[in-house]
Amino acid sequence: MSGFTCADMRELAPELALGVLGGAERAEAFAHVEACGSCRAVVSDLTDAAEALPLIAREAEPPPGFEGRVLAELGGRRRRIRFRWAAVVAATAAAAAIISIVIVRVVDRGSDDRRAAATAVWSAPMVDADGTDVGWAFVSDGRPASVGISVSYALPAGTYTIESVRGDGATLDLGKLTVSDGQGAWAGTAPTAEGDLIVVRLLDVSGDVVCTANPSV
Amino acid sequence: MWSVSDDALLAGLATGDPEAASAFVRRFQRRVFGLALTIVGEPRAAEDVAQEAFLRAWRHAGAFDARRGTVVTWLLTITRNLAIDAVRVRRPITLDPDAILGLDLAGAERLPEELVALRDDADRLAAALARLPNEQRRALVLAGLMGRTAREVSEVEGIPLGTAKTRIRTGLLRLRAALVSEERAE
Repeated sequence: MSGFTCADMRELAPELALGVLGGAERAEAFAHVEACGSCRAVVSDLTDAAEALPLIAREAEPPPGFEGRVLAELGGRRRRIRFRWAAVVAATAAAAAIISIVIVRVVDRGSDDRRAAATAVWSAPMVDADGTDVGWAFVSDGRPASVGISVSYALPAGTYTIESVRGDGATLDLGKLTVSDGQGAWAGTAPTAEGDLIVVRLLDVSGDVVCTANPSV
Repeated sequence: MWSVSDDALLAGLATGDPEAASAFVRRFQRRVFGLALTIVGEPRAAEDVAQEAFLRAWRHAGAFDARRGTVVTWLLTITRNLAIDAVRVRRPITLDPDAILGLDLAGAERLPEELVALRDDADRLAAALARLPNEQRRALVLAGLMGRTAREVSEVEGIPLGTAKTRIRTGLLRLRAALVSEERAE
């Protein structure tokens, strides 16, 4: 607890909520609030009002080309981050490949049936009818196959049927995916005794396909 | 396609999809640029602030917590903080709070029943601010929107530091009370 009393804190709470308290006082105030639930509640209430204040500013049209410049900068930063991640992923994939080879060779020394336990994976974006990526699907070709789906935006809220297509042409109903506020995720398994999964897709309540993950496209 | 909620659009921005990013920028750019311009007072600097605000939103989208507030208040808080930093780096500016708002608040005071009829958040806030005494409203806008400390408010307004602190404190407490009572009235 800081040297501030609760009475001191009530005096300073508005300035703390508005973010305009000076350095030393702010540090002491934070220390007090950290340890005092009632003062924390007071500051929290006032912060709600303080954070609404910027809404009062008038809207203004940005200069022509603003959106494009923001998106270009976003794209550039994403590529830089993706490049860094790609290096990490490549290193991880190389390590995983080495481990897989070792595992398969060890399994090969045993029964042939155990080779089925060796697992490969594909992942692909889930693409809607407009060609927009709305999420991702991940599939292993183990027995049974593990399937993971995530959609992060763009689909209306609701429940979708998860359907997969096997290499032998059979379609499988894997279950239901619920999308709430643009987000949804599902993980489960699919029987693949007669053929690997080649497509995973979501169907709406009418049975229409709303998006598909197909690694061969 | 983009009738999705602000929260979902922010999630889309976080995933890095260009269409989601475009829709997010289009939806909020007027508010973000308007706030930046209000605080920094110069279009070129305001554009830099607004652009950086969107980049910060993308980078920190994972930290957004819908239980603590709305996407627009979160985004405008980012913008405000960046704009205040920009102003402090460039030069201190003194603008009239009422002129900043572009609202004839002194002449726009509304009756309580009219206040209840308002639905838009910005209108509700403007109405609540309009009901504050002029000196409290000025102090609150200088501190809450422009990021001025109590000492800076005292200098701008030519009043003792203690008076500036009192005006800021009383103004925010009254604003909060007005917003809460209006929520209850709904």
